Amino acid sequence: MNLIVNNVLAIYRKELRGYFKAPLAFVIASVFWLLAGLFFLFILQSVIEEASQFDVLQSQLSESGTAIDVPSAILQLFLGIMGSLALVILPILSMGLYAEERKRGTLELLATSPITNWAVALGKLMAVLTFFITLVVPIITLEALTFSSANPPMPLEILLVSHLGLVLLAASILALGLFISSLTDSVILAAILTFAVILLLWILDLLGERLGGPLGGILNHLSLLKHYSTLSQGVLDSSSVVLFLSYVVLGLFLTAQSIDLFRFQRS
Amino acid sequence: MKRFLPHFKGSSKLIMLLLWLGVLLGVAGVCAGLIASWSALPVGLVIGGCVLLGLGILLQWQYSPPPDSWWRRRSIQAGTNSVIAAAAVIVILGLINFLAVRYPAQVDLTEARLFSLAPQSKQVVRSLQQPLKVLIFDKVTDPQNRTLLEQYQRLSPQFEFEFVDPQAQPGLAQKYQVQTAGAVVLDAGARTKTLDTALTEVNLTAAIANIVSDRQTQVFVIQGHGERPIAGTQASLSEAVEALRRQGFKTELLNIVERQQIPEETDVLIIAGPKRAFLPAEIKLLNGYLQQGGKALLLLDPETEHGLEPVLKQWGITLDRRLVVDASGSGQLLGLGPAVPVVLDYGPHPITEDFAQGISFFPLAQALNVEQAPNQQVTELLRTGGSSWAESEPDSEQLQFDEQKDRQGPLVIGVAIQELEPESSATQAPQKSDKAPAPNQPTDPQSQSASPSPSPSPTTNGTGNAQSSASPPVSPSPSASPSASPSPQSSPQAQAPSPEASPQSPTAPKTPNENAEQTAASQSSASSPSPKPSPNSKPADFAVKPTPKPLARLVVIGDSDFASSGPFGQVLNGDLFLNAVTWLGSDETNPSLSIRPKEVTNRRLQITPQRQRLLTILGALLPVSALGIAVTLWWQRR
Repeated sequence: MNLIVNNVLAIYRKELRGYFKAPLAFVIASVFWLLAGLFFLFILQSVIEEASQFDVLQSQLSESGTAIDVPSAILQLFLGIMGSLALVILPILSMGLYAEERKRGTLELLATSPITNWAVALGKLMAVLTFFITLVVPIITLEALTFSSANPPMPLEILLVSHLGLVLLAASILALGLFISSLTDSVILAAILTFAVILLLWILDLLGERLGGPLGGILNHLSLLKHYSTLSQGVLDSSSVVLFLSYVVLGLFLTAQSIDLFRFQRS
Repeated sequence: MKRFLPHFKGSSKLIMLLLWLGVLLGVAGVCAGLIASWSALPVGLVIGGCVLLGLGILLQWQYSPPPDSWWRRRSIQAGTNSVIAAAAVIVILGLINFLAVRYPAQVDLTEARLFSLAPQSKQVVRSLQQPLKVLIFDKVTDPQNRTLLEQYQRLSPQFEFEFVDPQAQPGLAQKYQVQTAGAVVLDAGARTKTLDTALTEVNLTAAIANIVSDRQTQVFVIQGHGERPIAGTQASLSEAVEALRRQGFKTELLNIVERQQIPEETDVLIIAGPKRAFLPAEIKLLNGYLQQGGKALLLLDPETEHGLEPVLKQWGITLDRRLVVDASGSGQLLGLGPAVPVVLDYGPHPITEDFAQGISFFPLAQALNVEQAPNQQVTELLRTGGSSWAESEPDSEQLQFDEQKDRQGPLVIGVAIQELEPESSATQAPQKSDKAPAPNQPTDPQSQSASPSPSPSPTTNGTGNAQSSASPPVSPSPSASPSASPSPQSSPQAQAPSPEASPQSPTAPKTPNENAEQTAASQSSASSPSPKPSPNSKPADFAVKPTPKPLARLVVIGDSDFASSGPFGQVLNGDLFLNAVTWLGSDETNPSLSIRPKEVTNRRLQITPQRQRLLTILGALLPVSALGIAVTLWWQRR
């Protein structure tokens, strides 16, 4: 057991070091931060303006009308944008995980090494997830700086749960990307396929609503967007968490299986 | 395998291309089909994608090395194994997800519990005994409505909902007589009900509670004094009665002289435009009915001798008897003359709360004078404009305001009166309850809470009660709906008229809310109502405090024409009538009434300019620094 943990950690460390030495990773970070920061500031500005207009209107009518929760509105809008942004960024992060190894021919080494396949996959997934969280942390700092000036103060739980939703979403997308990356030696193909698959999963609830019935219900449940929005609203739903974790487990398992097959084919 | 590679290097590229294109076309087709519709183009794209994919796989199969060596077979074996293993894992994950969906655990962390149902709603839905289907007739599916209905559905397998496109299924729309888009219909098999208000938790729970109650709200329309008939085309209440039926009310005619009494099952009494005087005996019965917590809607035209003044006087109302003339000309837009006052000003009341600045009009109306009596809450429902007046000589050729004889507007032509709980004026009520503890005292809070008695029928008292006029408004009857859940309505307990079991003991009003969650615990407390009443303790969380005592409600409008066929269907007239009857018929012990609409916390950001600048700088600094590191790394590598 200890050995396995050590193996996973070794892979994790090696992968992570790779990220922080690769210029590409920093280019991705730069683009991500630019887009996320722009969107955040833009949403902040527009929501605050809208709220102040609303306040002026209400004071003119001297009505105690509907209440608005400005920070929550900002958080909702921004997390929606972050979800879409993750949809674009995550396939780029996951594309090279195995495809690069295949291309360089190092996958044979990995596949025949004494480290079990799923330990490798887990290490790689943890590393890439850590990298994504590193990308998100500065943005969360921006949010924290903003929401700390909320009056009355914002409850911490909602912030935690909604960002947990983002991390879970990233984990499941990355796990599926990991599997797809292990199927091909073309990095670009892996990225495009991953994007296609998660886009399908993203909008599966639309299809489910069209279909209706039990099949529609199943498809509806498989949709990533639905569960992501549940969590980002601040509702900790066990079925959403279970679904995300299922995607992670499925991705890891399929990756291990596909590397297993690869070993037999190349031997 | 490597020795084969040179032979089909080119073809492997072709295969790759085919697979690629296949996937791309397929995804494009599926997306297009989902977003727009499954017309020829998306279907064609999907089929094309599948064909390309199949072709690619076929070619791959063709060009792959012949299965001649032992490892090849082994790989097939391994392949089969892993396919089986993958299928097994998918099935296991599917089962786990199924269980997770089946037994959900949800923690709503929003402060106002925006995404959870109130305990009252949970209780109402869980106690559903027969299937209930909610149909929403709308072309577009509102995700908010869906979320709300899904929350209901999760609570009970009996609850179903469906979004119906009225254009796609006109038969269904016709069956439920749906006319407007966005209409919500509740179908409980035997009974249907149209939800006229917006689809919110408050409204839906109340409607569900109403429809599953074993009895319909009973409306009696009094006849025998030249009142408006409920059938026929001209100047009848037929449209109003039909609208009431759609709302789930049961409407019947009542002739007091014939029945010699006002029936006990009466929930709402309507007196619409009487032209001949009521008999003194009838007046007495009406007075008794109202004093026992009756609910009545009086539509009284000017210049008629209906003899109802003694009844009205009890509630502080006197009729002006003069015709209201509206000279503002605002009625002309509707093609109405000066004798039809238009009302744009509504009092703050459940009946008129959604009316805003809407229009209603009242042909040949009279004004009312109201005095606020103690122990009752008076709301002026309808006020005419400032340029209206009460004309003393309507027969004169020119209607002109005469300062001496006429009365200047704004005039009140409709009031709603609600009797308040006696504890606010604590002197009279205890006396009454001491004098006559009503024979059946169901202070059994369990029967109240476990069976959400949504039938607004606080007046269905025991038989003894109706006759003994001395034992007025003290008998609650939460037992009105025994069917909603098997509530052990123990008669021995009910017949023990001990002083602490009097309805004044506030355990009954208090517990329904608390009991909503924990029925089991309340069963024990049900048998021993707490002897010490503390009338002022209010359940903190709920806006409307349920009470076991039926409290009289009265709506008086100085006109009956507005509810007759024709004007009824125009502007807000019909809504006014329906809302008034609904308010009168609503049960204050109904748990669903005490749901307060959820509201988000009113929260603002108070960002200082310095903070704003800091945010902007940070937002700019992040990508620039990352780009800088990327360039440095790249430079180093070179």
